[in-house]
Amino acid sequence: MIEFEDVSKSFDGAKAVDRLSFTVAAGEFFVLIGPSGCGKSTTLKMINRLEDYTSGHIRFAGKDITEYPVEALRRRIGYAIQSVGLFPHWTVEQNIATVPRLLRWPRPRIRDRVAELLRLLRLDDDSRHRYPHQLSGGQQQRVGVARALAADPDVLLMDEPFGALDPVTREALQSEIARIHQETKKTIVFVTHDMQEALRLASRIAIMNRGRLVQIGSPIALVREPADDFVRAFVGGDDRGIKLLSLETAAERVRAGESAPGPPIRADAPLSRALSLMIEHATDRLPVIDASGRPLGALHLADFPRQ
Amino acid sequence: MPRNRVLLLLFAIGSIAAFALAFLTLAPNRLVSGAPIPLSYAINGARWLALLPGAALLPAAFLRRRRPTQVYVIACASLFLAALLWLAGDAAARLAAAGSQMARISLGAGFWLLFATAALALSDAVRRAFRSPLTRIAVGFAAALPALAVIASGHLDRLAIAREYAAAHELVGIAVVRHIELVLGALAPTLAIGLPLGVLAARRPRLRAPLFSALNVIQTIPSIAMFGLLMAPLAAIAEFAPALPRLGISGIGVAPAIIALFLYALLPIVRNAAAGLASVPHAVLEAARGMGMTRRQILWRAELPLALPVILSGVRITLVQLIGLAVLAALVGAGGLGAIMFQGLFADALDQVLLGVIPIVLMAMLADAAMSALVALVQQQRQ
Repeated sequence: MIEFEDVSKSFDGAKAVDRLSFTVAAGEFFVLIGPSGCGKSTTLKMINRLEDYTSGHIRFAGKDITEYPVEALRRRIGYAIQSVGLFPHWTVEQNIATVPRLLRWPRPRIRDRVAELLRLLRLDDDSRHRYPHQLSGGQQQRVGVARALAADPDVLLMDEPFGALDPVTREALQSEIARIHQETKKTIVFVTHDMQEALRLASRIAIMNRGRLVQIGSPIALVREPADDFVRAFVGGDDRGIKLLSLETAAERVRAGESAPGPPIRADAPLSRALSLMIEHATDRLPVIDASGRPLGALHLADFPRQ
Repeated sequence: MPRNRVLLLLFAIGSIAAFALAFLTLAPNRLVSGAPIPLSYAINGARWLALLPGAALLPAAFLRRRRPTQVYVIACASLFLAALLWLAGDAAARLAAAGSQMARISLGAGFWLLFATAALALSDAVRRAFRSPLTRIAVGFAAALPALAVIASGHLDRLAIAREYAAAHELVGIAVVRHIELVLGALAPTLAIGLPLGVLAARRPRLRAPLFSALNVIQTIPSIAMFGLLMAPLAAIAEFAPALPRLGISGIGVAPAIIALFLYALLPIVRNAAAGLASVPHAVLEAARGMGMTRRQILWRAELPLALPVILSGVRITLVQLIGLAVLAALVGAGGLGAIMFQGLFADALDQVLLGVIPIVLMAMLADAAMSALVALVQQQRQ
């Protein structure tokens, strides 16, 4: 869906982005991560041409992005940013309808689409007539995401979209975006500096440092086999074991049919939560249940260290 | 302890004015200056009762500053304004009955100070009691009704200013219309040229400094000099193109007046347009660009609407400034209320000066109130 080929950007002689090459496949949740100033935001903004590049090629849907009229390209790519940037003088509905209106969709279609997106982002239907300042920060970002999705874009670019939210709201919106990704199968390119967030959401992570791509791979691959000390430190240093547990679910280690005392844990919960529960209740086994509460088996602490 | 020192101070000034200065002046004819008539003449007999609403303002200075107190102040001040007018009219009628038909009875410094302090107390209370400009305008208008009723009743007819008005009311009407024409005639090109200049200043930082220096230089030219400076070149142009004078463009008259007013009005319009555009949040612009809005769409759908309250404040300042400046247009033969005012000044006829000044003050107040309300309406929509 998106291809970077040897892309560089120089700033007064210094390289902000240095010979970047990678491909984002359709339907992927692709996370760009790195310390501040590593060029991850710049890289993201190159895709919708908010930033220029000095050399190399970027292709979108098979065609070089410079071959599209710039506005047409941007209208095909959803864009959500940390500061949201809702239009303060427009209602929620008008904000969400921005791109469909630019594309001159008929009115009834826009109205239906807004209703659909309000449902998708779990916003009240009443909120369509509110103004942005009447919403909480979390609600504003929900509207921001709805607006980015409005014209059903092929790709969604998100620039630290949850960075300014409190931890509880951030977590809720992370679940929301994970669900939306599953439901819509959109290609998402997501910038963050929060490794926890990246590990939780990404199907693939690209770690950048000083304008270069350091390592690219699935969350498990990054935690298990960091390419160098920088990646090792960035994915969690001494806590990498715990990070690994957070990437696997109870379902993957359950001993089917066995039973155990203690508080039950759901099969889709990460192993890190299971470990936490075991420590909290001073036990080395837990009963595992499925989403509807039926017992599936038991989880043993002894099985955790398996590679 | 006084809780409202402003009111207390106004009351003190009013009291001193009431007893130390002439309430009215009486002159045997238009040429000599008048003899003072004290307030005691106006309030003899039971007429002193008319001062009660004014006296009732004093305790309000010691009451808690709550809305009921402010409403009480508004009511008292409103009645007091009407009472002052009534007293002046009544005293003038009695003086006229006693003296000759030629006698001129003018409002004295004491009357004006009392009237001004009561009006200030009123506007201060309205401002404190009500937030929304629309309510303020409505309450202010309601509070002016008693005074307007006294004026409309013909009770002031024996005052010299009323006689001046009776003699010249057609001229005043023409002057008011001309004044408005001058102001709007200058405002229209100011907006048409100033707003694009403001956009340009916001977009091109390199252009901003020289543009604002030029506009600032214009502001430093004394206004009378400006009107004078424009006469020569315009007269020269009219000389070369004989068609122009037929269109009303020549060295004297409306053309130099409107050009001078336009030049003065540019700075606040351009400055506020540029400031308004600069205040648009960066995130909004980034999101707008990222969603594929064109520059023109961003300007019309996001930047200008968001800058509108600041731009309108600029228009408000400009409008009030223009109403005042347009007085000087009379000096280059453009007419307007300034013509009446200057005529009075040169003839040493204070009442005639007032005939020009009072409509200007009212016009400026109305323009200010109307524009404030407009700004508030625009902002209200987003709050």
